[in-house]
This record gives sequence, structure tokens and C-alpha cells, in this order.
Amino acid sequence: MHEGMERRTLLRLMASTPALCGLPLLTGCGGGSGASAGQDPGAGVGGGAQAALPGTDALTHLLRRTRFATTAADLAAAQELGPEGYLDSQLQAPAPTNFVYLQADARYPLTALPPPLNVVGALILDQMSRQLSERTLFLAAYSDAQLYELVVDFWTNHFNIENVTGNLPLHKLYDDRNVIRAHAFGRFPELLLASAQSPAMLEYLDNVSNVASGPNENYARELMELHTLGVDGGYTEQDVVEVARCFTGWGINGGSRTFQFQAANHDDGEKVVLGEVIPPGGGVRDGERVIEILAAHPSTARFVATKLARRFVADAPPPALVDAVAAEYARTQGDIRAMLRVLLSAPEFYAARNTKVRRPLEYVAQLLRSAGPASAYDGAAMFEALSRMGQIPHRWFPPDGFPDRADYWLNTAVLLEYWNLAATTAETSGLFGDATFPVQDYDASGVEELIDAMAAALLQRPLRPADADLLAGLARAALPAEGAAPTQAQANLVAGLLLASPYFMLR
Amino acid sequence: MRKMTSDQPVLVAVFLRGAIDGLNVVVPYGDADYYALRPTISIAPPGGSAGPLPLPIPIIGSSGQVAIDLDGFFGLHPSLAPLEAMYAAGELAAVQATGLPQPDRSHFSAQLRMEVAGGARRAAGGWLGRYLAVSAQASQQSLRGISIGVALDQALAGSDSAAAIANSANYALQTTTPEAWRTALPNLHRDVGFEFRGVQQRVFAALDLLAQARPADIATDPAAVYPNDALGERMRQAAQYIKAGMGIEAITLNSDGWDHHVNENTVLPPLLTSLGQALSALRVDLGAHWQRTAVVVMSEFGRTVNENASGGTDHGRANMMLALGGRIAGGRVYGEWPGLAAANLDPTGDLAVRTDYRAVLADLLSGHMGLAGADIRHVFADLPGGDRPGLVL
Repeated sequence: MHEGMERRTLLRLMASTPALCGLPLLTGCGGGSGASAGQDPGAGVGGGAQAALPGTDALTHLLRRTRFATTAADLAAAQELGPEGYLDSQLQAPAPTNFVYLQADARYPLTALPPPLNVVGALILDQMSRQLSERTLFLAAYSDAQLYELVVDFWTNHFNIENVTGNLPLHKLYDDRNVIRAHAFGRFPELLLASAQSPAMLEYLDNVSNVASGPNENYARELMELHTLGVDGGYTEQDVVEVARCFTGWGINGGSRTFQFQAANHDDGEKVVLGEVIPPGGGVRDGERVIEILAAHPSTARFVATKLARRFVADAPPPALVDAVAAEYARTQGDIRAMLRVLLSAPEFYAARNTKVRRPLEYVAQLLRSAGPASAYDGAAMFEALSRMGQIPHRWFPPDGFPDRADYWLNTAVLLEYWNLAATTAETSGLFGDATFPVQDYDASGVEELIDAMAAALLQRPLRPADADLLAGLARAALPAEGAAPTQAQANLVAGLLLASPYFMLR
Repeated sequence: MRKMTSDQPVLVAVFLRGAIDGLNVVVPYGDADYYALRPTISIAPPGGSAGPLPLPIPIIGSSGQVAIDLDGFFGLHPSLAPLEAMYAAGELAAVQATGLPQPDRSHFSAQLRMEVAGGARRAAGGWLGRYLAVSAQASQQSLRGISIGVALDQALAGSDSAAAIANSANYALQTTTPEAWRTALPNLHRDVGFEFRGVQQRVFAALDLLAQARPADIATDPAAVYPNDALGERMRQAAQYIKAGMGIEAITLNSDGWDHHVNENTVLPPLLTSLGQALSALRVDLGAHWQRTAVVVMSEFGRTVNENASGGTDHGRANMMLALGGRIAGGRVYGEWPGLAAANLDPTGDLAVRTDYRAVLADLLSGHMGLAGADIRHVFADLPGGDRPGLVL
């Protein structure tokens, strides 16, 4: 409505500019709709995908992989900056005064309370849990620090903690701010240590009950299997035992709700971890030394590199790229931004188009931004949608985080949910009776023109000619327009199907 | 009109995620070492009386809980009381000291290994997915396996006739123009890589079958009282799929939260109560369909034989499994018992595996589902020959 003019101008701009010709890695420029089909440089990369969709252009690819959501304005801004300038701008953490983050704090005030917050009833804990999950969704959709939010999501899953049970809703608030967000763009060894001392992690993986008189191995095992070395990273069952001994006494101060080393509960004998002798009497230093050993281990570099490459490039990441990112980890002692820069500038990255499917949070975030401004944001409805897909942020209960490979989560339950979200978004009117995608915004004199304009706006990529023809035929047959001007019902049909299609689902 | 296959055998695989402590479920109360290893979380012998230990006073059990006798040596955790009648009726069998052929103490790796059961040749898909594939010619049906949940369980992976359905009641396409969508979606999902096309086809197959059979409309027997939780709801849906006679052969469903590193005395009972009620309600709800149903309950590995300082147990090795159904040769605890004496434990000090878990599954596939020997070898490529427990009548 009030944004109509701006949106219309941008849409026209996008439709008329074969976006981003001139970028070094771009193929298919100058051709008509679908001309690059079959020439997709990403075909065959990752997971055995035989993608026959036209490849997205290079900058669109970069945006799709570094953002939860992209609007027409975002694309225009990135075109101004160029890929390198865009990447530089996205490798910055948001400023404390960033408006969207202040908005998020205001919307979800329980997530912004300063610690210690140890006098809270069960009711408040429930609300804290819900508010943090909704805040995560809100920031995914509306933050301008989009790559930062994706990387926060990556580490949130890497160091997964559910925020439902016991005091975890409270402790996860601290973890989200002071561990994940504070170190998301920092150095991995520091992130790892912060996580090891995070009250939420200490509670979630039972290290609070890991004491000299009877070690609890839960944290020790997952620290090596999931946080650092990987399951085949070269540790033994005896290493699990020894690492657990090193972390005995790492607990939580009941008053301040922060990390506390409880010397009386610490096993101060000698330990041997991955072949290194940890001498007796080390106290809190034992655990710190374990963190150092693990962070410096080549298996950790490879494990982190593999997961990053899987997250940002392809479900089956190109081995040469994993090598390059692992080498950068070793060279920089785990500088996360340095690794991201290698990852997101590599030829293998640009070759891997159409190789990732939007996960539920990514799908929902893009759907929200495609459908309208933040003022129309309905957190509850999207929260319910994520709930139906089992992917509410911070509510994955096992410690391995939401699965990243599509073959683990893309199935009959999630696909139908995507289709239904697309249909509901396209076909349901907003508060003032406005269509979500007003037909007049697309300035189209015929159905074919409408389809081209909607594909440019909603997909930022052209359709295969056969798909465009099919949609045009269906739009005409199902909903015959009077004269040539497309109707709102036709726009709803086209928008819904585009949002339900792999064109939209592929990142 | 398709003939509804009301005599079709069906297998329900229940996976307890997190590694249930089998030693406190099928309790070896006749093994004196059990009580020595678990000073605060042991389950007392049936009757709470002397049992195997020469103590002058009745054992009240360090956990305060008393086992239900099964066979004079093993007892059932008291929170599984709803299953006592089924055991007595010979419809419930337990297997002890069973597990993966190779040690694996990672939840995720062990669960995957167990569900894939690919063996040295790394067979594709999961064990139930391979079952559906190898038995496909016997069925005309497009949808034969269902994971009740938002994810397709890895056990059913690799089949083109398996679907994940979280809730059959609202599994429907919600567009106002369904005909146009049904025409467009197959084309839009064609030749785009991944499994988009296959998944799209399975969504349509599921939509069609559900529209025809309407399992969500099948009434629950009023005498079947499912627990009011996620497991109860999943089990209720499993009964609806079976009672609808819609030709479903394999159903997988999960129960979460079995990783009790701490406070087992308080954590385990409510989980077991829910499990016992859910299985008992299924049996009541299925009525005559129970005869063609087999249920297997499994978990990725057992837990340490000794308790830890937090009143919990850590990751161990062998575990128990349960098999239930109208044709199960129940009322027995199967499997060779290695014992809990230090000398009999496996090299890392955990309960040793004496029965390969695949032998239990193979028993169900051959005895209950009627799969031929050669096809069993396709499902479990390198399962050693030789003795199987013989769980099916």
C-alpha cells in the first residue's frame, strides 16, 4: 500500500536489468528468460544434484547463500557494492545501536534483561524460552546483518542447547548473547572456551554433575564428537574418560548464574588427553588445556571446515574447498571471519549453485520478507509453522543441532508444509484486505508479463520456458481474465506456485 | 477400487532416542553384581524380598522401586506394569544383552548405524527401506511405509514408497486452487536435482491414500487409554493406520529423552510409564488387528553397568529390546546372558553384546512379515547365519 510505489519502482528496475551482467563469474548474461538452462556451472556439484534449473547469477547466488532473506532493496544495495564490497559489509557484526536489534529487544523484553536473573518462576521461564525463539526468527527475517545471523544460527546448532528444560530457558539467554553472538565472528578457540563455561552448556550436557567422586562423561564426549574433533577425529573411549576428569568441578555459581570452578569437586590427579600428559594439581587449568588441545587439533580444523562448507556451499562439500578452509583455520588459529572469506570467495563456492535447499527457518524468513514489511510481521503464525516442521529455533533436543543435509529433513512432511505456507501466504489477504502480492505492483499487461515480473521479484531468477508456459496456461484456464489485464486471482495463483517451487526453495 | 489388504502383516518400529538403560528395564535381579554396581538406582527383586542376596532384611531396592517378575531371574521395571498382562499372555518378549555388532558410543552414529544396518558393503537406505524395496513386487501400493513425525526416519530411507506424516488429520493441500496446483507441482519439481521430484510424488501418493482411507476418522477404542503426550499421540496414529486397512506394512515412530546421565530414579519412571501405557493402549485399540501386528522397541545402545555420581548412567554397550504382537512367542526373556561380573564384561567394562540386534529384526521380517531367506540377506547383507532368537510363533 504505502510502500507500493517504492516496491513497484524496484520491481521494474529488476525486471528490466538482466541483473549483474559483468560480474566475472557470471554466465548466461544477455540471453532471454531461461537461456542459461543447461549451462549451470553448479550442475553436478554436491549431493549428486543434477540441477537443470537456470543457474542464478553470481551476485544473487552470493546473496542467497549469505542471507536468510533478500528483498529487492537488498539486491539493489548489493549491486551498488559489488560482491567484494557486499561481503565486507556483511562480515561486520551489528552495532549495539542497530535499530533492528533495539526493536528485537523491545519486542522480546525478557531476552534483554541483564543478568543475574535467578528469581524467576516457571511461567517466566516459559515466556523466556518462547521469546528467545521468536526473537531469533525475527532477527533472521529482518536483521540487516544477515550473514551474522546465519553464522549465529550455524554456531547455535554447532553448540546446540535446547531452551525448554529446567533452567535452560534462563541460561540459554546468556549463552545466546555472551557465547554465540559475542563470538560468532570471533575466533573458534575463544568461542569454544566460552561455550565450555556457559551455564547453559554446563547444565545441558550435565557437567554440573561431573565431579571427582564420579565423573559424568556427557559433556566430554559431545565436546570431542560434536564440537571439535568429529566422531572419527581420532579420540578413544579412554580420552572421553580423561577429558571428563579434566572438567570435574566446572559448574555454575548459584547466585550470579555464571561459570564457577569448584575446586573441591575437581579431580586433581594426572590425566592423559590425546597423548598429552596433563600434570596433577592443575585445577581449572586442566579444562582450559583440553580446550587448547582440541582447538589446535587438525581434526577440529577439518571438522569445522567441513561443517561450514556444508552449511554455505553444498550438502556434499567439495573436498578442495574443505582443505582450503581447514588450512585457513590452521593459519589463523580459527579466525571465523577469515574462514568465511575463503569459503565465500572460492571458485567452488560460485560453482555450487542450486545445491542447497532452504531449511525451514530460511524458508520462513524469506517468505516473510517476500510478503511484506516488518510492520506486518506475525511472529505467532510463523512460530506455529516452524513448530509443525519441528524446527523452532533452540528447540532441537539432542546435542547435534538441526540436520543440515537435505536428505535428512526434506521429506513429505516438510515439502507439503512449504507448499501450504506458500499457498496461504499468496492467497490470504492482510489486515486491510490487501492482497499479499497486489497485481498492480507488477505493472503487467498480460499473463506472460505478470509471470516474468513475479519471477524476477519473488525468485530473482528466470523460469524455464516450459514452466513459464505451464503457469500461463493454468492462469488462463483456471481464472480467465476479462480482457488482457491480469487479475488478482491470477497473481495469487502464480505467486503461490512460484513460492512453492524449487526455484524458491533452492538457496 | 483397490482391495484393502486387511490381512497385511505390519511392523511397528519404536525407537527410544537417547539410549534407554536396559538394565533398569529388564532387570537382572538374579545377578548379584547388579546390586553391587548400582548402589542408589537399582530396582529391587520382585516382592522386595531377599532375592539372590543373603541379606537379613528385605531389600527395598536402592531406588525404592520393585521389579515385576518375568522368569525368576529378570524382572520388569514397575513403571512398565501396563505390559505385565501382555507378557503373561505370551504376547510380549524381551531380549537382553543385544546391540550393534561393533561398539559405538555416539548417539548419532549408533542410531544411524542401527537404522541403516548397511554392513560392510554399505547398503543404501535403511533396513525397513530395503525391506520395502525388496518386497515391492508383492504390492501394487504406492505408499507402504510411514514415519509418524516431521522427519523420515533413517530406517525407512531409500524406499520410494515411504513417507513422513506428522499428523494424518491435517495432511492436506491447502490451496484454493488445488487442480491447478496438482497440475503445476509435478512439472515445477521435475529435473531440479535433489529428491524434489521423488518427494513431490510421495506427497501426492500420501494425499491420495489418506483421502481414500481416511485414517484420521478411525475411532479410537474407548478402552484404549493412550498417554497424553507425543508418544501416545504417535502410537494412536499408528493404530489408525493399521485399523484403516490401507496396506501400510512398516511404521516407524520415536520416543525422545532417554539419555539419563543424571537422576535416573526420577527421570526414568515417567518415561517408562508413558511407554507402557502407549504400548498397552495400542494393543487394546488394535483389537483383532493385533494378530497381524508386531512391534519392536529398540534403542541405540545400553548404559554403563555402574551408576555415576549423579545418580545416572553413561553410555554403555548392550541393551534390551522388546517385541510385542499377536504372533510373538512372548512370555520369555531371550538372549544369552553374559553376566555382570567384571570378568564377563566387554573390554570397556560394559555389558557385552551376545545377540546381534539384526538377528531380532531378521526374526520379525521373516517370521512375521514373511520375507524369504534370500531377501533377508538383501536387507541385512552381512548378518552372520546361525541361531536366531525365534521370536515369532
